[in-house]
Amino acid sequence: MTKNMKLLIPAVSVAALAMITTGCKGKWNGDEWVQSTDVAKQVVLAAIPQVPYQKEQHEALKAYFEKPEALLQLFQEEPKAAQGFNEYLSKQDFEVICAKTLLTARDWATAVGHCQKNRYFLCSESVRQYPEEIRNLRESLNAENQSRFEAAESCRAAVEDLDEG
Amino acid sequence: MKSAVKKYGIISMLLLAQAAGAQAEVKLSLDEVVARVGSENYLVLENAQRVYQAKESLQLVRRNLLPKLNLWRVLEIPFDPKNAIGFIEDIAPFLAPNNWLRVQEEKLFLQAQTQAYRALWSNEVLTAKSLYFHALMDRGLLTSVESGIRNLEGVYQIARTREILGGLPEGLSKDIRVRILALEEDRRNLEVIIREEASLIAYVSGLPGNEDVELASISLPDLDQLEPLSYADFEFRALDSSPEMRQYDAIIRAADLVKKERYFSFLGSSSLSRGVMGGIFDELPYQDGLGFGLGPSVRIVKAHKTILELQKQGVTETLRRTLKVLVGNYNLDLESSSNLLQRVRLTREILERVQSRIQIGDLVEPIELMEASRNQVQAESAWLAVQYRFLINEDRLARLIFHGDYETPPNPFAPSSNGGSRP
Repeated sequence: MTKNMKLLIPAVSVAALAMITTGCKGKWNGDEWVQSTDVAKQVVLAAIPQVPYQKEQHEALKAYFEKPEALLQLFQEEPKAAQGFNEYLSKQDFEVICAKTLLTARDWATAVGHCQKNRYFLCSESVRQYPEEIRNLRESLNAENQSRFEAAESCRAAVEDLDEG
Repeated sequence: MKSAVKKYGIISMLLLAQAAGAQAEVKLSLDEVVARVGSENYLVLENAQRVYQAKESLQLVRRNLLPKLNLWRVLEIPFDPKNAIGFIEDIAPFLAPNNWLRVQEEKLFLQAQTQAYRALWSNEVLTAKSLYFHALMDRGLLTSVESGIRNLEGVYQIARTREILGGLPEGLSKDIRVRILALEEDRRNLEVIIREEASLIAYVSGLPGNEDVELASISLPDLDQLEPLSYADFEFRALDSSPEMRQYDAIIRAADLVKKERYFSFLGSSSLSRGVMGGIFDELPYQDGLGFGLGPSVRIVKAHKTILELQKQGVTETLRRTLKVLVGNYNLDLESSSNLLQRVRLTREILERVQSRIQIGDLVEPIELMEASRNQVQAESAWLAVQYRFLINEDRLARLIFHGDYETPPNPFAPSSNGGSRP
């Protein structure tokens, strides 16, 4: 039995190491998300006035507006990710986070207007879904984070007209 | 005596109910047909169950990461202690990396299955709407044919009277009668087609087989008010919203995980099922354990990924080609609309002029009246056909870019009266 145990220990150690490399790889990283959203936001701000939209502008819009949707999908698949999201935000300054990640309602409305031609909407569906996704993201905040969100000027400014839309 | 009356009463009530059921006719509008396809269509409901299976498969592989108890294996250990290593798979399945990879694969298969559901639903809506437009067009053509028959009956009476009075040689009235008979044959054929189309609409709407459908009219588009479209404007949207492309994206991403599984095969293969959509990878050969077969088995998965990428490329080009044809047809129909409208107006004027000449007693040749009536019916029919063809093409474009009725797919987990409710 002892001999078997000696065999078991290295086998379990190797398996545990492999499990860490495969299973734990997809852990959500808040700083990384904020940074990549900030970059996508700068790209989309530059793309919005460039009409008529070509593939490049469409891709830029899609890359930014799909961010909240992807985050919500992650929360749906991994309920613990929503908890991690709230924990991360509780340590952050909401003024900075909203300024870095959220687009103003006016910029969004401009983008939607440019996406419309004749009776057809020609951009990625995520552009149109943005207000709803932001609403859902706000709902996934815990009570404390929600009140901090309401208190932050940059956050309020970003969602005020969006809610009406 | 009393019980016999009661018995006959029940039987007659049942017969009445059956007769009422046999004659049941449901009035459907286009919006109602679209809504019913989402909630009652058999194929859509069947596919919703597949999405449900994929969702539950994800739960299954997740929960299978937790320890489980296999009593026989526990009993084997005292007889053969080496079996304790195999026992790890039972008490700590989370230690097998391939089991974790299966969870990630299953998430992608769920995405692919959801997109397959969206594609199927939109195709069924497209079929239902196309049938609806065809049925209304045929109903319009039937009205034109009936009006043509009525006009020719008048011409026949005139020709027959003239023949009797000696103003016309014998034979023309027979030619007109032949023409009337041919139109009556057209009418019967159209009635059969309309009945078949209505029956198909009832089926795709998930209505019971004994119910007939009466379709509500729709307003036809004002083609003069519409602007031509440009292919370039629609390309991104058509490719981006395509459920077929999204399905391939998810499966190609899953192929990377399947390749990764090969590298970790030395820590045991996963016994967890890949679920309803994962079957496409099940046939690929697998090197169980560490061995010289690892390289080829990885290359086989890579080749399979290339196959999927090529298929995706094929779908991309098909979508582009379809879009190009649709935009072209849309613009051509807009271009031809003014000509057709002019033709309808002119033939109508000619027929009215001939008819007013008859009313004031002018001597009109019956052949002239017959020709005017035929031209008018043909012009009206051509205009009607173009208007409905435009609607069908416009709807195909809407399906391609997920516009209008195609914007919001139904929830695959919503209950349905046709047996779509979930446990």
